[in-house]
Amino acid sequence: MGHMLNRRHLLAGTVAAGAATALAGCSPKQGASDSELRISWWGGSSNHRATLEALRLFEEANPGVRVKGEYTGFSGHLERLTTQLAGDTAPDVMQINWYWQTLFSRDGKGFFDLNGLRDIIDLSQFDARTLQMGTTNGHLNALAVTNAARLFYFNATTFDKAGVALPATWDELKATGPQMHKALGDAYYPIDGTFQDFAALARSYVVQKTGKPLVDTATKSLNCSPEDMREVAQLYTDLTQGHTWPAARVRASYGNVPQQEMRPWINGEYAGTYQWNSAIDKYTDTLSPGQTVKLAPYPMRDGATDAGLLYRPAMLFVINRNCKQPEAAARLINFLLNDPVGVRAMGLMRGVPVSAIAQKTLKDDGLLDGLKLESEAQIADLPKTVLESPYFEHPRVRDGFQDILEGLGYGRVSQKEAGERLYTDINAILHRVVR
Amino acid sequence: MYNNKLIGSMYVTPFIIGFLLFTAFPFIASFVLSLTDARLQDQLGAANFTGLANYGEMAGDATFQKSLGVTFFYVFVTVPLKLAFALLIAVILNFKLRGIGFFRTAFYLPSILGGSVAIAVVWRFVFAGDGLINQAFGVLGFGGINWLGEPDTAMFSIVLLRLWQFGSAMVVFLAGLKAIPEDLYEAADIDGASRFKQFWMITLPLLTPVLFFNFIMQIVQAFQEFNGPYIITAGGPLKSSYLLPLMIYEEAFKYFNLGYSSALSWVLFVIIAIFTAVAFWSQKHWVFYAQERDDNKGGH
Repeated sequence: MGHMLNRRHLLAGTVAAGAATALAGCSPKQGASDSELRISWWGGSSNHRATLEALRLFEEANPGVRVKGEYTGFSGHLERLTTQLAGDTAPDVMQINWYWQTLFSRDGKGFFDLNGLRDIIDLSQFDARTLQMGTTNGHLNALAVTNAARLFYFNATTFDKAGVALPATWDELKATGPQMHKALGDAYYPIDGTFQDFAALARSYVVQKTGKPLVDTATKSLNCSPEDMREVAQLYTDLTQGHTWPAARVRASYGNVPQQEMRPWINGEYAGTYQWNSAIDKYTDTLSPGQTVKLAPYPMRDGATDAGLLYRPAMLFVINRNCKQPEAAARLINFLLNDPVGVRAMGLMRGVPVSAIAQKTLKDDGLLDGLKLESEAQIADLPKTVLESPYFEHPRVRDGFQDILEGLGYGRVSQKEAGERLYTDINAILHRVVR
Repeated sequence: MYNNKLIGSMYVTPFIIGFLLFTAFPFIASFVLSLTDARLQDQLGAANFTGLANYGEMAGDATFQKSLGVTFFYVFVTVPLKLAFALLIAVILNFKLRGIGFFRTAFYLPSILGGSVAIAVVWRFVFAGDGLINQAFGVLGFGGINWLGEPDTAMFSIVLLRLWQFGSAMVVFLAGLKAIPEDLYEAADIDGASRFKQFWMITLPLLTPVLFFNFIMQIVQAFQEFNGPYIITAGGPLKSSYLLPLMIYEEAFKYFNLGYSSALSWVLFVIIAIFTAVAFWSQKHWVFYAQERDDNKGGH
């Protein structure tokens, strides 16, 4: 009997201890001190290592401040951050994507206004366009780590094998499909991408004609004519039927897999991509040995005054509007973006930094070279005054383009109908989502 | 001296707390949210009460109607096929063969690996245009099939993933087969009944309680299928594998439409509840319980 009672004691004690631990775990102040900052970001493992090292160096330079890094891969990061913001448990400093500003800070008050911290953060290192793209309703919410644009990258090894020159104009791009098909066969395509990639490419094509952003936030509609959208449908048809861009069925046969992990990309059969310059390393890394990727000249339509680059901040740091220590958080951001010690630790893990002093630091260290340097130079040279609305990247707008183009690709809608729906359906979506 | 009730209550307290926090509260909260225009990124206090507007919106939502149709198709194809396949394998594994234990383990293994993310990724590579199956077809001299690139075959690939996980249903069937008294088969043998007739007249009727249990479990699981379409096809092509759980997920976490997503969840819940209720109601017509058999025996 005594034995049973002891066991009961033990079990009851365990339950009580468990409950106490669980309750303690619910406390928002668990293990926290006033001098602890939390920062979250997404990225790959080398990015995580570099950022953690930068945080360690920041702690060394700022005795009494501890920084806790919270990091994940990109997949699921937005969902996690959204839940944290909704539950008021978000970190003090967060890395966000550009269009997330429309989700979390439509009126500019969703994040801390960095204008009030300009004594700590050296904003003079950032150009006016970068600051503007982090500003909503006059509130500077976000500071870009890097700016990125979609550019044309081609597998030069495959092009050499086919005896085809890298395209420099839209017509040349269309012509590479039949040329490569004739030289290398069915499996080879000069360029590949998702429907989202094509929508971005088509946007550039339209903006080069109109000279205006594709999405007009003020009127909640497309800033182009129905004829322009019919040209988009025509462009998709030309590229896919000309064997320049894999047809919808061909792409879908690989399932839901990232482009850089598809076998035809790895072995050079899909010989090009319209991709963010900040992400191009991810694509070159997966190529089988012996292949070289080159940056192509950016194609321009006759009479175009703007390249229609989708050029915008790729990653931005923001401060939680409920942050208890905004000055410390601002010091951290300034350290990561403008302090040579922090900049060297972060290196090029998030692409070429936008901060002038950071760029100079890395250039002096000889880190800016090759494809990265060429991409930066091309972006700098291209005419790019058009500022696109973040709503172009809204998930419903992206999916709207995908649904119609996929229908066209599978022959479920005619080219004429696809062109009309690209205008009417996307306008209806914009009217619904722009707030 | 010790209050057994108090100690007993403490034993169940962790479960009660967990149930209230992680099941009952979200259950009720999701219904409340379904009556609002709550968005994931906003504070809940900012949500407006919209009554049944979210439910009404479904009537005009072509994506929902497509998703619902695809989901019903998936359930109606998968559940009967999986039950039939699991029963067939269970009957085979019920034979007294040398090394049968090994085969039972081998056939059960896929269910342990089951619908995990890793298996779904493997499945994607197996059925890809240049995947294992098409490579095998090539070796045999056949042309490949665009498994994931055509709406019909994409759904077929997802269905096969579910069928492949027949092990748990098979084990339950096997346990049911073991429980059928041998003397019934001996009597049937003496009466000259064929193997097929024995299966039809003895095995199947006595297996109906197990069949009923498996049916309910499979219906519930099939309506909740998520990993396969999410990882293998992302619901495509042309939304041909866009099952309702995937739509619920995307509405909440891609479009941040928490209110509408909650309403969709409740529609799915009601559909599952109706199927389960109809199954329970119908069992008096086709499920034969041992207790009834004994009662009937006594009556005679």
